[in-house]
Amino acid sequence: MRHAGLELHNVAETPAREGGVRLDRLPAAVREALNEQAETNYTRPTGVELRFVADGPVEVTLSCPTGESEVTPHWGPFQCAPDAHVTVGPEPTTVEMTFPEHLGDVADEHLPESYFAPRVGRLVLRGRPTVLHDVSGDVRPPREAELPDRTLLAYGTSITQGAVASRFPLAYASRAARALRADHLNLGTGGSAFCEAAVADHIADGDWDVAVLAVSVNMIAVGFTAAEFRERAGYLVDTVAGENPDSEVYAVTLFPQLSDVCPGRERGDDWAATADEYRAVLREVVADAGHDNLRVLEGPDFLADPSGLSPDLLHPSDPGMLEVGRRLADELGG
Amino acid sequence: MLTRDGLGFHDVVELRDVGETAGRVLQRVPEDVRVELNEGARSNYRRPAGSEIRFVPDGPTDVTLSAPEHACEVRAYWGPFPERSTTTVGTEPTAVTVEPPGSLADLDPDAAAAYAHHPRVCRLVMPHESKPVHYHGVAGGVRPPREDELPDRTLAAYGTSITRGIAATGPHLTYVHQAARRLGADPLNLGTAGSAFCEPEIADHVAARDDWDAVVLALSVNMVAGFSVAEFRERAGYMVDTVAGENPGKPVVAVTLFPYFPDLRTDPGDHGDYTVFREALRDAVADCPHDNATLVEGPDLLPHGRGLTTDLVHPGDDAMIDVGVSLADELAGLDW
Repeated sequence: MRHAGLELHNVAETPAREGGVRLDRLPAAVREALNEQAETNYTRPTGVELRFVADGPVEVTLSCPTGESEVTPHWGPFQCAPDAHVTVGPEPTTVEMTFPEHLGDVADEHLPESYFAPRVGRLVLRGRPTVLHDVSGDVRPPREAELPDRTLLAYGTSITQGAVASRFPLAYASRAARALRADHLNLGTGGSAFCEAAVADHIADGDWDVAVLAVSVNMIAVGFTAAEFRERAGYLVDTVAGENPDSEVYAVTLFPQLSDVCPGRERGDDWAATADEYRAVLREVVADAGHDNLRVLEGPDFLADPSGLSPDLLHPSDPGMLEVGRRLADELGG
Repeated sequence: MLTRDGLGFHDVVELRDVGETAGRVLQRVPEDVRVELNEGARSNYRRPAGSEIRFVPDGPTDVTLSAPEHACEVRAYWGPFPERSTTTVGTEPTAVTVEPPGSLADLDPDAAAAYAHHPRVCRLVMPHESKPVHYHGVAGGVRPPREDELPDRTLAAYGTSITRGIAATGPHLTYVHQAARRLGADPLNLGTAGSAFCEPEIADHVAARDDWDAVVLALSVNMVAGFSVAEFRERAGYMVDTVAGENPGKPVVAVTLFPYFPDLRTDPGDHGDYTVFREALRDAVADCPHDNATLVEGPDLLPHGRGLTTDLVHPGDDAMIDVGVSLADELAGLDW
């Protein structure tokens, strides 16, 4: 959607807040139909981008009333160096961007095809709910020709949200999208990817070309039975694939985690099923759905080296994110 | 590995009292080498480049550090597993507190032993782009890691800010770390920002060190402005010859200039014929009588400069990862 001359990417709704607009990833009508944690989580700007093409300097003012959010500025495919990264706190912070003219001199042959044009300013966000206050400067939203041709959507848990990645561009789905020269819509929701029908219907209605549904260690962790997981994941994959016959849909089984790598810990304390039972269910619902555009991919294949996890043995750290992103891109690109 | 107070110091060869604090600065080259180098390198080698303090604690442990010129972030790893949060080391002495995470105690013991760094080894990883860090002391029961708890081999690298990795988001994302991780090796970063002038003293030092098994010499965009190609040919030639000659059987990989803005423009503008610096390094390796010296073209490691940051010189994370992957592929094919 558009606001003040910017394209708000991965933003579904902009409720008025504290002298600006909040950047929500799902409309309130969908959020309210989800579990409480997801309802809140989708007000976080994970992988939200503020995009523009500018004639001269641009100032974008943001705040993060309840904590911090990170801003990783890019010009098209070029990520700015760490000294230009910004942390936004409760007080409004102005991010200043001026197009480095030498990027306009890069020959087309050296630019990735069908990806972001260097002129496209991109402020990539992640963190607590964030408010956009002001935009100053001569800006317009990017044109279609200045953006990638395809879009990769990802739904899943905090892993899909990129929880432990150093910055959002290192999250596996962002890495895979970049490798495929695709745009990215991130609908990861930490601790709360419960595969409700409302989020399934919303994804099914969305505008994307490839969807990755990485479900769901959150459901096993809070005690959903294999039968409950079957019903919800079955509806999710069937609806998303069935309503988008021209798009590709990939269901990804649980990534390796503590129960896979610690002998004797195969079943967590509150679990009503094992990780392998969840994986088997996902395979079965994909097979039962019988859609040509739907495939199951095995999470353990994407993270062959468990040392890519963080010490909680659940969330991939940067090396794990890189491995998952690379292998996922290989699968999706093949 | 330098040890002190039951701690091992990796990519640190001296803990030097420089009189600024009650602590000792972590220094990456010995003082007698450092003072012979250009001013930028003298400053750089007193700054960590992903240097580490390593130890096996028997419980909660405080390692006290300071960063007198500018606060910095230090992250603890347990073997390969990074802690989720960092500790800010301030200008005054700051205790970095670590405690072995319970979750790792249940790892399959065979799998744990197979990691390049054993998960019982705490690694305090210093930043790669910071000002100096000083060591003050440790409180807690610690011992240095044993050899069998650390990687079997070490990949060293000498070069510019690109090698030091200053535009990577974290020290673990520099190309040296990325390549080393893929090879199951320890990284040893001798990058020196803006000042990799290939002096004979640093060449002799790299050649004489006995703590690496393969070395990358990424030479040297820092010399393109300010040195003639003949001067570069002489210094780079001496470095390649000396390092390779004194380390038979260990790969010495010379890397020509990584792609940067004049390579990417339709019109390279007024940057002169910088490509002769690549040619000079090719000649230096071709003329080197030692068969452990090989050449890799920087542009082959980073086609089209993809993933450079907006200055079109310094690789960002994407480019660092790509260079690391390609370099690891090159090194995996060599005998070391």
